[in-house]
Parts: sequence; structure tokens; C-alpha cells
Amino acid sequence: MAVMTYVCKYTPLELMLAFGAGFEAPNNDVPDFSKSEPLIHQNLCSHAKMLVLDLLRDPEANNVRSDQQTTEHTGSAGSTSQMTAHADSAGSICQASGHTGGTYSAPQKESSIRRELILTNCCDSIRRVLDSVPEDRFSFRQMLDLPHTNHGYAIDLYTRQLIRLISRYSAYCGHSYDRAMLTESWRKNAEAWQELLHENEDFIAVLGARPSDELFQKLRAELRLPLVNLTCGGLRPLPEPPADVEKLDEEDLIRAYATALLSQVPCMRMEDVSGRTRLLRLKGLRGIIYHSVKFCDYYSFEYAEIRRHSDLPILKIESDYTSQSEGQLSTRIAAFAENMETVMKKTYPEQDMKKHKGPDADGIYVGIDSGSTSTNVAAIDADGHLVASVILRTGAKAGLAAEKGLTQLKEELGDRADSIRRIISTGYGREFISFADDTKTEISCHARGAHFADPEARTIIDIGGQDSKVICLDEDGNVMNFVMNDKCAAGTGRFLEMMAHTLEISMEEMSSLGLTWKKDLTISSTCTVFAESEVVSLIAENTATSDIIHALDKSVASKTASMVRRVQGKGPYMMTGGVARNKGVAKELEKKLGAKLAIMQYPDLIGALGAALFARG
Amino acid sequence: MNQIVEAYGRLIDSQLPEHPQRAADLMTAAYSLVGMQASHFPSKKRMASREFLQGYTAKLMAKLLKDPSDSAIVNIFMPSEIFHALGTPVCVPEGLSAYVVCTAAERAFIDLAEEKGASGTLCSYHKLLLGCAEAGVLKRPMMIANTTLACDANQLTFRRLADKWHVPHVVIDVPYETDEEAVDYVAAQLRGLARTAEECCGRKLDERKLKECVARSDESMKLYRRYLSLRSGVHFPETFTPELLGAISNKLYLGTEDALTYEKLLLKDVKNAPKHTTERRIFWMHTMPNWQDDVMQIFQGSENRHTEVVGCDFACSSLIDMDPEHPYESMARRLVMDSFNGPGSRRIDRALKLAKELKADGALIFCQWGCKQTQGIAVRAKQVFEENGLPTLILDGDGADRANGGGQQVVTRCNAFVEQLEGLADNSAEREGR
Repeated sequence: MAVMTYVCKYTPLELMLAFGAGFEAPNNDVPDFSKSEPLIHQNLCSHAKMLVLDLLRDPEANNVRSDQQTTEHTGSAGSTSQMTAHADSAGSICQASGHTGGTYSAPQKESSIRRELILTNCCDSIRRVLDSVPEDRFSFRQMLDLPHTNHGYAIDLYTRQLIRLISRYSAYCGHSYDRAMLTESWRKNAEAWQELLHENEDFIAVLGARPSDELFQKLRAELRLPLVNLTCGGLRPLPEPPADVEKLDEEDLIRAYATALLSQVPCMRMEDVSGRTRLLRLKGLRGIIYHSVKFCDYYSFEYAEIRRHSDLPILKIESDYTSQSEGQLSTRIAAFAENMETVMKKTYPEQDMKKHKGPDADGIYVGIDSGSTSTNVAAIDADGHLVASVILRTGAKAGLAAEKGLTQLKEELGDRADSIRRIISTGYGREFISFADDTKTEISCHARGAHFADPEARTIIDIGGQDSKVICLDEDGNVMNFVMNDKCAAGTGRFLEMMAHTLEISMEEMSSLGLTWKKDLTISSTCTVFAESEVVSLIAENTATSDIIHALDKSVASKTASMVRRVQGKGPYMMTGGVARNKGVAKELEKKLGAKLAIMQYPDLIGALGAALFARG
Repeated sequence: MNQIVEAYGRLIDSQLPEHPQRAADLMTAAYSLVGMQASHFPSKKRMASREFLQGYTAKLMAKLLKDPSDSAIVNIFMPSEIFHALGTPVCVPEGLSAYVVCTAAERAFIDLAEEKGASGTLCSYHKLLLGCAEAGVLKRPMMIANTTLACDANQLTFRRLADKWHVPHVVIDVPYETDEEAVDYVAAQLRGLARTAEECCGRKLDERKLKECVARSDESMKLYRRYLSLRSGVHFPETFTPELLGAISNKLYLGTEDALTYEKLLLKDVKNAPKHTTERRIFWMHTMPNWQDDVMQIFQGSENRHTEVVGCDFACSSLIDMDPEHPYESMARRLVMDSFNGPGSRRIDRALKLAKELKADGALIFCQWGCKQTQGIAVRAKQVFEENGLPTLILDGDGADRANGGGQQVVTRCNAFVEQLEGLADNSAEREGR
């Protein structure tokens, strides 16, 4: 059998199906990119690098689905349908990717798998994929010259491209396409879009760049509402075929089809992207997961615009087609799910399913914030007074540190330890604390704790050991928006720890030495590794340690202030997390924000306090 | 970079975001000064061609920062003869960014661009332009126009700017293929661009003037080809700047009297240059980190370094003949036939041919941060060059943002590459019994 690989939603899938082609859109996470690097630069879009790896694999070794297998699609919000892509039942075609990675196959007589490739020059990275993979791996391959517009000349250009494709593919496979099948699958596709337009059920849309199948499934598993993939790897709704489609001569038919392909909701590489606002007007849309792929630049502006103009809850996530950084991703998704719950409760108060019992007047409630550097434990009474707390190093195992922390807390509580009623865990290690009654993300916990400590605070800046985050609150302490740093350690406590190690000073010295700077230096590298290299150079030049620390403080402050501006954070500000104890960073951050930071006596306990408040209910 | 420039950069940086006009004034003053120095007090140590075009460019940048209301912001590949014929000044991101980074003032602008939504992995030249606009240092121009060639960043940056400023925006879609249908497709769009530009500036395009511009473009490119044919036999005392200026003169300024004067001066410089004695001659691909003094020194071609850059594919990507009687088709053909258009093999083959004509001993592929076009061909280009006897270095860096510049690591890599070439030359000499 032959399997045609494609990636772009402007690919003429209906036409190729009418030729009897089976096709697939590779879209799976990979362990790493070590095998693609001999062929293509590491800074190309991660999806393109994944594609290179896929194109290099042996097709026989692939679990390509046969013509009898099915694939899922979410043609309408919330309802998942199964569809078998037989040649005699040409259904509507959304892309295989972004759903289950399924393969549409028409019946084939050959037993061995031939690999065919059809790409569009949709972006710089995909263009270079075709340049990088050896030609002899494919029995047929074609690059379609995809215009950036859909005006008259562009339609002429794409029509000619399709006519050339028909000519080449007919010569290759020895037969022409089934015209009836082309129009039928085109029509079904248009109907799927109409269904979504008129769908009343609530759903969450994935927008932006395509997520891997694994990521999509993870999102789907964590969220209560159905998820619809509206990225360039998801639905590809076409307008209806013309009423007289049966009467058109071949060239006019292909022209009409080219017009339909170019009339889809545009992806961001097209000149006019105003049609994308249609996605935001879909009736059942309740929230947005905005996804971007590492080294794909197309979607960041749109995210910023949606963020500015939409009231819907939005989660921005970036992935790189590997399974790295699962912990941080889980935290973001879970925090978004919690945020969605709040929104849904406001929208549908009668559906508030998680009713809590009121606190027991004599009870003690415990929150454990299991961070990468420290594990912080807080106990409160029914009135919310902090009655005991413990801060200890997390070490290699989060669960063990939490157990140790709880033991110490109980010692501090003395007789009252028996009154512990409920324990909530938060932080990266929250899932590894088996004795906790429930978990909450650190986003929600920091918000809750900060609002409790200072109800006036509207923007919480939390810089911990492994990550930094900015959380915007409304007057009731609800999370309105949040942003976290990416995988990079720059701007986190770990960054400062590494630099303190390089400078051979303690974290306490690091905290205040920068305040006595004389020469205003700048560390230009944002990468931790390169910044360390700059610090080493400055040490070699006999630069005063206080000047170097001041430059590092500015670097952390600058990165953090940038995050604040990205989420349009407004004062009053509160700083939490271990780095809030660093006087130099706090001072530089105040300068960057032009406002004072409220810093509590125990800024690293705010997350644990929030968790304890959730435990209290 | 000297301490005065760094201090000046910090001074500009400190004006943002509260005082964009002060930052613009400081930059305008700096560029005016550079322009005046190059035009009126040219350094005798520098080539006359360089001083001429640098002076012209600096003054143009100063003018754009002061008042761009009658200017067009375009990408470097945009055939600008239409604007030249209309008397409309043009500004490109690469030009402005190269100037800002040389004032060591890029950080605040880049941070601002990222805060407003630009991806951290977007090309830094584009981020700098966006940052200048977001800060209010670069003000609203008359219109914006860009080609889809050579990279995706154009689609993002120029659309964003047009949305921000609410000015007319024209996109010239350049097909991947190089047939006459593609030329006609682009020519039709260029005619549309001319109509939009006329409406924006309120002047009628004089087709005779346009033809004169295209005739000058043709003459300029012929002179540049002549320069290239002589370049292989001589030694130039300077590096990077001639190649960067070549990229501007052979693209953006093409069709102007100034570009033609530059090409004439360049030809004179190459004729007067000493015979080549440099032992290692490098062919460069893509942009150059001209802010990085220690990298420039390696390729400076001074007597003790014995290494120089002899050419750059960015400056020579489309040096075709042009027919003044068919100006739109000529400009369209120049775009379509550009080696940065289409499959990577076209660019690699043309670069290899040029490198051989320039008698290069090695090639350096500069992977500019965010440039997927060059990053995407780098591995294949290295393979092809080395199969053809040209040792090649792939160098990751950034010509517009020192944060991605790689610092000393880049210097080490360049030095190691030079040592590699020295070793190869020694082995070869030994084999030949010299």
C-alpha cells in the first residue's frame, strides 16, 4: 500500500483521497532530536524536526493503520465521532494530526508500504524539511507552491499547482481521480464546519500551533469540557462546493476546489488573517488553550492580541514535541482547569459540584508546598491563623521531604497535631505526597495565600527555585490570568544559586552584596549557561563582586518585569517565593515596575498557606 | 565595543519606556554625526566606497528617526525602484537594527518587542525594528510593504506594524517556482504596489523615472559583477562592512544615484587594492555580527591575521540583468530568481559557485538567531561545500542582539576554524614539498 505524508491544512486531501491515496500526518512526541541534527539545525521548529525524524523511519516499522481502521475526529464540539475512511464512504476530512494521529486509507491492493510525500511551502521550516530528507525515500514527492493570499492571481497560481499535481500523480499511479469522490468528501467537510458553527455545547478550543497527539490527549484528559482542535493541524473546514459543481469542466472544478482550499480560516502565514476572528465567535467557546511550538514564531502575536481583547480564560502553553518538562506543563494545565472551574461556577452556579463542608472549629489544616528547592509546610486553625510552619530542603525525593516536614510540623504543634483534619499538597512534588487528601496547583495556592495575606494585592510575583510566575487576581482573589517562565532557568532561584556558586558566595551574601554596587554593568545573555560564562569573564577581569551581583539582580528583575507586562499586571504587587528574600532583586524589580512590592515576613510560605486555606475549605 | 559607545547605549536604554522622544533624539544625533563624519571627513584608512555609502545610510537613518511620515518601511528584498522613482525614502529592519545594535542600545527595544507579543525565537533584526516602533522611537510611516521572500518573519513583523500604525500595507507574494508565470504573478502585484504608493504619497509615478531607476539598477549590478570578478585577485583592508553595504546597495538602494555611485567607487577601490596575499579567504553566508569587534578582528585581513572575508551570498543573491523597458517584469524576475527563493539547493549551488570564483579557502555559514531559512540549509550546505573542498564552519550567533551572540564561545569557534584552515594549508604545502 502507499501512504502519503502531509502536514499542511491547505493540502488537497479530498483530491488525493479521490485518487485512492491513503494519508497520514505525523504528529507524535519523540524522545529527543539527536537523530535529526545530522540533517537539520537544532533551532528549526520542533514540529519540523519531528517530521524529519518521521520521514527517516522505515515505513514497514510504522504502525500505519490499514484501510479497515478508524480514526477519531471532533467534528463538533464535545461529540466525538468515529469515521472509517473507506473510498466508498469518503467522509469529511479533518486532519489526522491533533486528534489521534490516525491514518486515512483508501483500499489498496499492494502489500508493501510505499512512502509518498506532499508538502506545501507553508513555512521556512517545512521548506527546509524537503531540502533535508533524501529524495530516494519516497516513491512520489511534491512541494506545492502555496500562495500567501487568496485573491484572483493567487487562485490562478494554486489552480495550476493542483493541475500539475494531478498530471504528475496520474502518471505515477496510472489512473485519474474519482471526481464524484472529490466533490462528496469536499461537501462532507463543509458540513462538519457548519455543525461546529451551530454547536451549542460548551467546549474549549485549542488554538495556535498544532499540539502533538500526546499533548492533545493529555489536555483532553485533564479538562472537564470537551476539547476542539482549531489549530493548523485540526479542523480544516472548506466552504460548500458550488451548487453547479457537477456541471463544471475539469479546470473549473479544480479552480473552485483551489478557491475553497484557500478560503479556509487562514493560518497565520497568510497575508490576511482577519478571518481567524471567526474562531473566537464560535457559540460554545468557553476557554482557550493557546499552544505554540518551540521555534515556530507564527502564533505569538495572535496570542497577545487575544489576551488583550478576550475575556475568556486562556492558557498559553509551549511544547517542543518531546515529553520533557511534564511537571511544569501539568501545573499549567491543572491551574487552567481550576480557573475554568471558577469561571463555570460563576456562569452556572447550580453546577458547583465541589461543595465543601465548613471548617471544624477545633481543626488544624495543613498545606504542603513541595518545590524543587524547598518544601514548605504551613498549618492554620479554623480562623486562618498560622499556628505552625516548617521550611526544609526538598532534596532528591519530594515525598520523603514532605513526610519529614509533616513530622516536624506535628512536633511544633504538640498536642494539637491530633486535630489535623485535612492536608492539601501543592508545588511540583504535589502528586508524590501520598498522605495528602487532595492536590492544588501552586498557581491557585499562591493566589489564595497572597489574597489572604493582603486582600489589596492584584499581581503576585512568585520566584521560586525552578520557576517564576506572575498571577493576576481580581478583587475576590480569583485568578484572572497567569504566566510562567518557560523551561529555561534564567530568572529563577536556580539561576541565582548557580551564579552564587560561581562567585563562591552564600545566598545570604548574594541577597545584599548587590546593593553596594559602584559600576553599572549589564549581563546581556538571558541563557543561564551563557550568563555564567559572562560572569566568569567578569571575574577574570577583576570586576567587583558587588557590581556583578547588581548586574545579575538587574537581569532577573528585567526578565520578571517583562513577564508582568506580558500579563498586563497592575499594582498593588506582592512578591512571594524564596527569591523575595533577595533584597537586591526586589529593589531592582521595584525600579523596573515603578512601584513598591509587598513582601510578607515569610514569603516562601505563601503557597503552603494557600494550600492550607484550601484544606480548610 | 568601546566604553563611550556602551555608555551612550545605556543612556538611550535608560530613556525607555518613559521618554521615547529623548531616546530617538539621542539616536538621531549619533547617526547624524556618523553620517556627517563619513561624508565630510572621510577616514583615509577606510575605503572611499564604504565612507560614501555609510555616510548616506547614517543620514537616512537619522532622517527616518526624525520624521518618517513620508517614508515607506519595507523589507530588504523589496524592489524599491518604485519608491525611488516617487522620491519616497525607504527603511528596512536590517538597516535600522544594524545601527541600533552598534549603539549597544538593543536590549530595551528587544525586551519591549517580546512584551508586546513577539516570539523570543523571532529574528532579532525584526524584533529590534518592532521594539523601536513599540517604544515610539520609530514613528508612523507613510506605508508598509514587504515581500514574502526571504523569510516568514516578514509576514509577522510588517503585519504587526501595519496594524499598530493603521497604515496601508502591501504584501508581494513571491512564488517558490521560477517560471514566467511566477514572474507575471509578481509583476502584477508590483503594479498594484505602485498604485498604492501613489495614493499614499499623493504623487503620480512617472514611468519614465521608473525606467531610469531600473536602468541604474541594471548598471549597478553589472558594476558589482565586475567588482566580484576582480575581488578574487586582491586584498581588502576591511571586512564585514563592504559585504553588509553590498547587501543594501544591491537590494534596497538599487536604482538610486547613490547606489550607482557606490558601485563605481567600489570598483575603483577594488582596482586600487593591493594584490591578494591573504592566506585564508572566507566566503560568508547570510548576515554578519558587525557589532562583535572580536569576531571582526579575526576576519579583518590585517597583515598579521592573514584571514579575510572575500564575499557574502546575502549581497549577491540576485544580480541579474534588468530590462528598463519592462521595469515591473524586471523587478519581478529579480525577486523570483533570487537565490534565497525556492529550494535550498539553489542557494547552496550559487554560493558554492561564487565561493569558487572568489577563490575562497573556506566557508562560514552564519546562522542568525531566528532565521530558519539559513539554519535550515546549514547542514546540507556544509556537506556540499566540504565535498567540493571548502572546509565549512556553521556558526550560531546574532547580528542584532548580543544576548544570543554567544560571546567568547563564538570567538573560540572562529579562531579554531582559522586554525583548522591553517593546518590544512600546512599539510597541503608539505605534500607539495614546499
